Parts: sequence; C-alpha cells; structure tokens
Amino acid sequence: MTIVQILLVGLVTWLLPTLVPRTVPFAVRIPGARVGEPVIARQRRFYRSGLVAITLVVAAVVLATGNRVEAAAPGVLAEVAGALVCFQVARRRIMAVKEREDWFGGLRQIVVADTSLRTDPERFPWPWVVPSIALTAATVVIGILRYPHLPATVATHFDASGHADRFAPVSLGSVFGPVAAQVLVTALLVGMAALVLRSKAQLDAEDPQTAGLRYRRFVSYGARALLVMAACLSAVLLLSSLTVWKLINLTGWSAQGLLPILPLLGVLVLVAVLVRTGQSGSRLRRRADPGSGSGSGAARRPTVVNQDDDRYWRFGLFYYNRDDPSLLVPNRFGIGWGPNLARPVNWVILAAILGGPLITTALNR
Amino acid sequence: MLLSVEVDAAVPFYQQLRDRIVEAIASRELRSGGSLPATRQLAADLGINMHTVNKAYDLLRQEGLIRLGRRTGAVVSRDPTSGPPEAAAIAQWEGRARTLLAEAVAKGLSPPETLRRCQTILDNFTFAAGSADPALPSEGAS
Repeated sequence: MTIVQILLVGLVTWLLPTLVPRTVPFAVRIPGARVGEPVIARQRRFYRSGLVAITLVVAAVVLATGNRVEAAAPGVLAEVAGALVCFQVARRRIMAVKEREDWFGGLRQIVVADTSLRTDPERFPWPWVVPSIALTAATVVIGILRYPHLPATVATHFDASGHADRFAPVSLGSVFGPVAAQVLVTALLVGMAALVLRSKAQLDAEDPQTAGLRYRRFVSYGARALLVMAACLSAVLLLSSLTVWKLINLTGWSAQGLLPILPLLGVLVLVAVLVRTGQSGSRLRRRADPGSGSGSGAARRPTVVNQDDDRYWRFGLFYYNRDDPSLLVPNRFGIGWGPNLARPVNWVILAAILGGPLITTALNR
Repeated sequence: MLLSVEVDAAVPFYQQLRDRIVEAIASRELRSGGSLPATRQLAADLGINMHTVNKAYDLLRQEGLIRLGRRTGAVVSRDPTSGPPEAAAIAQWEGRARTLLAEAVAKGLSPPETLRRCQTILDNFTFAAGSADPALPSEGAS
C-alpha cells in the first residue's frame, strides 16, 4: 500500500510540468512566442531527473523497512520536499533568463474575460450531489434511530485489523462526532464544487476563444470529480459509523481493504480527471469552433500577450492578490485549485480545515 | 463576448471596460436585454478590483446604456434598435467628437481622409452587426 502511494505521488509530480498551461512553465509567466526557449526544456529535464532520483531513494527505503503503513506520511513528505526544491531551482533559473533577456519587452500585456462564461454559466451538477447527501442523511437517520439502543460504551478507535481497541461512554459527542464530521466533509466538498464553477477563469490572452471552451470543460469535470470524492468519503464514514454502532462488523479484509480503498478511489478519480484535462483544461484538444462569437479584441491583434502576473504568485505557489476578489484560482504549478490568500475568509476556512482535526485529536487523547 | 483590458495602457481600467462594452453594443455583440456578468465575477476573471468594474458599470448606467438591478445585475438597456437617441446625449457626444476630429485635423489628416476613416470604423460596426444577425436571430444573450 505504502509503495503504491509513494509511486503515485512520484508519478503526479513528474507529470506536473506537462499539466500546466504552456505559458506558465514552472510558475513563470512567459509570452507564447517563448515556449520553445532552450532553458525551459533544460529545467524540465533537471526537475524530472531530480524527482526520479528522490522517488527511487524513498521507494528503496520504504521497501527496505518492510513497506509499512507508518512510512507513508514521512515518505510522501520527503518526496514532496524534494520536488519543491527541484521546482524552486528550475523556476529561479527560468526567471533569471526571462529577466535578463526581457521577454516581455515591447509586448502589449492584456487580460481577457469571456462574459458568456458568466451570463450562460456551466450549471451545478445537482444529480451528482445526490449520493453523498443521501449517504450523509442515512447516517444521521440511522444514528438517531440507533441511539436509544446503544450499549453503555462505543468504540472510538480501531487497530489496523479492525478490532476496537479504545472505547468511550455513550454520549451525543461520542456517537454523533463522526456524523458531524461527515456532514462537514460533504458540505465542504459540495461548497468547493460550487466555488470551482465560479473560480477565476484566467484565459490565455493569445487564444481566448479556445481557452474559454477549455475552462468550461475543466470546471464541469472538476466539480463532478469533487462530488464523486464526496460520495466516496461519505460512504467510508457511513460504514465506520455502522461499525461503531455495532450494526455491521468490519474486520479482516473489509476493514483493511474497503475503508482505505474508498477514499483512495475518490482521490484517484479526481487526480485522473485533472490530469486528463490539464490545468485550466490546457490539455483538452481544441474543439471544432461552434461559431462562437466574432472574435473581437484579442483575436485580431497577434502582438498581445498575457499579463506578466508573477508578482501575485509568492514562491510561484501561493496566490496573493489584494485587488482580485477571487476566492479560488487554478493552481499555478499543480493540479486543482488553491485559495487567494489575500482574502481573509480563506484564512478562516484554512484554519477550520487544519484546526478541526487537530482539536478532534486533542479531545480524543 | 470577449472583454479585454490592456495592463500598461494610459487609459484607466474602468474607462477601457466602459469603452469595450460600448463598442460591443454598437456592433450588436451585446443587445438590449442581454446581461453582463456580476461585478464581483467580472472583477475576479480579470483579476482587478471590484470598484473598478463598479465604476465602469456606473458610467454606463449614467449614459443610459445599461440598467443595474439588485436582483437582475447589469442588463443592457439600449442598443442601435432602441429608437432615436436623446438630444442631450447627442450634444454631449458631439462635444467629444469635436475634440477627436480636431486631433486628427491638427495632426495633419486631411478632412476627406478623416471622413473616410470615420466611415470605415462605422462600416465595421454595421458589418459586425449584419454578420452576427443570422447566428442570433432573436434577442441572444451573449
């Protein structure tokens, strides 16, 4: 199991340079005419060979220590740290050449919005929410019905083979704590899917028509994948609640296989979809043009390029733009979406996501 | 409709936005009854301040080109087919056209040449309107 995770993380980080739009290699904004610069290909090779070396070392250590579950977190952490170092080096080197040769000199930088993305938006895929909401509602109802009939204590912790090894007296907290977590997870992912559909559409100024069509498919696939993930996590939490309430008995294969595989499946679906589409749909092929608009503005002027927006990306990874009201933006180097850290509400959400589990762990001690 | 603003231009963002929307109405890309994105959403897509978009929308509202409703958002309220213009609006426009034409003449463009160029620009608007019509037979949204 652990080695699979290590290799999967290695694969995705290896793929990253090909998943991002071609005008932001290693989070550096470049004009379209510069995508063939030798420094970019060179840094891509550097990043990838570094990553392969790190992944092989981590994988060797994991296998040598017996492929244990506990090795997953430190292993992935080491891999990600190594990838980050290679990324920063590659980014700095490309930035240095870009600045030395003044790649944006004399070019007209523009930002483009496609108003039809908003006046005729992608609709929220309500049918895809049904599974996760049904599973969550089922958990709440079963919990309420079961509550009067519970024994004096319920399990709060299970060992690796699925046997309960810690117990707590029955109380609203010990019984409905996991249910509350499930409601929170579902609400968070459904909310995220809704935000994704409204997420910033940063269109390629050099070909905004295609970029708009790609953005549509990117957000609609992404939102659906998030809802699939919500359904998988709801299913896991329902199964574990049923175990705690002694309605089913998950031991052996079902505990070791089913419970970890469902969330992994959700993550795999999301990663597969985002790898397929590429960031902002950059890997989706250009569709035959369905006669969309008359191509005003940017299309007529070949000398325009995207705005050099490097200054809004701290370390190339964190978006911080006080002017921009966007909450979610597509990650610059990576897949999926990240917060605009200049919006205070995002700090509140981050604190809730990071603080929630910490507090729960502290209380369970 | 594609809305673009130039980053390093001397013209402020709100003015550029307002100008692009007026041009879109003239070329019938935007029609009376069609909506514009919500302020917040347009600002997010362009990565600019919400007040900038607000200012552009407010200018357009003062000029009678759009309506701003709490529930409907920004809606185009007049286009070339909405009937004759208001006298006051035309007087104001003539003032600005005077300055613009003066610039051309002062910089050495002959009056016939100035007129010819004005005609080309006008033809662009009507041509765009003509070619867009079959695609959007009724009151299209975009």
